[in-house]
Amino acid sequence: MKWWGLPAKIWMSCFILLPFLWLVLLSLQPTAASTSITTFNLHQFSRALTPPYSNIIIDSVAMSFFAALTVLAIAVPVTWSISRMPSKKKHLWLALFTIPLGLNFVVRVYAWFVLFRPEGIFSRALRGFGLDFAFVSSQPGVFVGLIYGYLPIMFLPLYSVFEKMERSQLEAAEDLGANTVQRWWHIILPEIRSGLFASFLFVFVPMLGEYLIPRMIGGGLVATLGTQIEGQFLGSGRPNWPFGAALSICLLIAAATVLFSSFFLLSRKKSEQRARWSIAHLN
Amino acid sequence: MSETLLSLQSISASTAGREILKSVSIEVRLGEFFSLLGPSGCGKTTLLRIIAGFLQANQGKILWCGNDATHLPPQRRDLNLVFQNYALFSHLNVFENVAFGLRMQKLPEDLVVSRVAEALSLVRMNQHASRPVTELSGGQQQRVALARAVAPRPKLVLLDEPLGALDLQLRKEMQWELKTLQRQLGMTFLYVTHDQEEAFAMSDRIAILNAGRLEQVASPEELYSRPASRFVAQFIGTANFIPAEKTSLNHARCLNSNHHFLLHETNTEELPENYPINGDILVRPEQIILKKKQSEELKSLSGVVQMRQFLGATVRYHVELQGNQKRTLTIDQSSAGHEPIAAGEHVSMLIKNPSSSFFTEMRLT
Repeated sequence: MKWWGLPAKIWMSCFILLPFLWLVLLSLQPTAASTSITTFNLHQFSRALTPPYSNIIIDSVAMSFFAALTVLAIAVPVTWSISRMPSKKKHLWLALFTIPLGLNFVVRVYAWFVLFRPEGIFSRALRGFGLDFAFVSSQPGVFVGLIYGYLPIMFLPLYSVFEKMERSQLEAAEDLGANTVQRWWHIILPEIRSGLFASFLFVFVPMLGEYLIPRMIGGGLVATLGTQIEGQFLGSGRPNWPFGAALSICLLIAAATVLFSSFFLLSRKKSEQRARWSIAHLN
Repeated sequence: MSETLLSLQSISASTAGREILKSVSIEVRLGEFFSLLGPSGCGKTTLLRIIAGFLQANQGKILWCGNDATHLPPQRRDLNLVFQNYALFSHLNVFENVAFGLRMQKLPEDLVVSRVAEALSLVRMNQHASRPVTELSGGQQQRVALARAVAPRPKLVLLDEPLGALDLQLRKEMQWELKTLQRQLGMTFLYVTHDQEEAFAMSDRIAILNAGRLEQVASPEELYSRPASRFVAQFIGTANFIPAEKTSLNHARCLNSNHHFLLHETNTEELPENYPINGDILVRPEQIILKKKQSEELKSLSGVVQMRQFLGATVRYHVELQGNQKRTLTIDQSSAGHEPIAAGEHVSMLIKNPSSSFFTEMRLT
C-alpha cells in the first residue's frame, strides 16, 4: 500500500465514515429514549416515509430543485454578460455581485423578512397597488428567499465556467453561419453542460438542507426537510434524535439520487450517437 | 487580369486612441492565394477580423464582388476562417465539426454527409471522422479546421497564422498541402502570417503591412527584387545597403567604387536639378561575387572578411566594407567549387546584374 494515501484515508474514516455510521446506528433505534445497541429496526424510516413527513420530503426536494433551476436561469445570463466585459470592468462587476457573500447570512435573510413582513414597506407598497400578498410565512416567500440567498454563491462557479470557454469557438460558429440562438443551443450550452450541472448541484444540495431561510421567512409555518431535522435535534418540543437521524439519511439519499442521475445524464453523449449514424452513411 | 473578389478601400481602425490601421487599400482577386505579411503588431490580424466581420473599421469600405459589405454580420459573409488556435468545437467529433457550417445552411442530410466526406478526404482525415477532436494531434486538428472552413464552399477562406503552432517539419509539409488544396479547390485564400518564407512559399501575391500602413502589394519575385521601401527590402530576405548616389532618374553610382546601377522605375517627384542624391543602393547577398584581393584594384568595392559560415548549399560571409561609412555586408557564395576565404583577408567585390532599388537617407518615421 502506498503511504501517501493515508492522510486522506484517516480523514475519511475519522470525519466522514465513523460519524456516518454513528448516524445510521442512531437512525435504527426504535424510540427516542432508547439507548439499546442490540435492538435495531426501521421504525424511524417508516415514519419518515409516511405522511406528513413523506410529503415534506417531496415538497423540499421539489422546492429546492426549482429554486436551484431559477437561480441557474438568473445567474447564466448575468454571469455571461459579466464574462463578456473588458477585463478591468469584469473584475469590478464580479466583486460587486459577490459582495453579499461577505455579509452574514442571517442578516441578509432577516432583511427580507423586515421588508416583506405584513407591516414592511414592500408589503405596504404592494397593498397600495391592491395586491395583498402574504409573502412572509408562505411557501412562495421561502422559495424567493432561497433564490436570493443562493444567487451570489452561483456566480463564482458559473463565472469560471464561462471564463474557461474559448471565445474563438463562438466566433467560429458565427463565421460558419450560426445566429445568436443557434450559437447558444449548438455551442455554448453543450460546451458548458458539465459546468452547469456542477453549479446547479452547488446550490441545490445546500438548499435541500437549508433551515434558516424557511425558519426566518417561513416563520415556522413552512415545513421543510431542513426545519424538521433541526426540530428533531434542537427543537423546543420533544427532541427525537433517532428520527432526526433517519430524516438526515433521507436527505442524503435525495441529494445522492439527484447527483448520480445528473452524472448519468452527463455521460450520455447525444451528439456522438447522431454522428455515428452519419458515419455509417459515409462508408 | 482576373475579377476582383474583395476590395478594401481606405480601411482605418483604432482602439483606445491608438491607430492600428492607417488607410489600407487592398484588392484580392478571385482564385488567388493572397498573403498579408508583416511583423507582429502591424495590424494584420485586425485587418483579418475586419474582413471576417468581427470588427468594424472606423473608416473605409469593404466591397464584396463589387457590393458594399462593410456592415454585414460575420454569419452573412461568404467566407470562412481558419483560426490560429483552430477553435474546433470540443464537444463535437471530427464529422460534426466539419458538418457544422453545412447544418447551419440547413442542407439535406445526404448532401451534408457527402460534402463532409469530400472535405475530409481533401485533408486526408476521413479515417478519423468519428473521433473526438480533443484526441487529435495539432496537425490533425489543423486539417479538421481547414476542412470545416472549406466544406461550405465559401468564396474566400481566411487563414490566421494557421501553421504557427506546428513544428518546423510539419509546417513545411502543410505549406505544400495548403497550396495544393487551394489549387484543387480553386478557392481564394487570404493568408495572414509574420513568416516571410511561409508567405513566399505559397502566395501568388503578398501585401506587406508595417505599423498599420500598407507598404507594398506585389508578387514574391517583385517584392524581393523591387522592394518599394527600405522596410520591405529588409523584411524580405537579407538586404545590404551600400552607400551610393543617384545621378539621374534611373542611374546610381557606388560612392567607393565605379559600380554603376540601373535603377528600377520609381514614381518619385525628384527634380533633375536635385541630382546627385545621397542614399543607399540595395544589393542582395547572392548578387555579390567575392574575390581575394590581388593587388590595388582601383575603383572596385573592397572589404575585410569578418566571419565565414558554411550553410550547405551556400557559404555566407560577413564582410566589413571599406570606405568612409562602416557597413557590414552579408554575402552568399554558392558552395559548389568555392574556394574558402579566411576571416581577416582582404576581398574585392563584384556585383552581378547591377539593377536594383535606391533608397534615400533613412526616413524618420
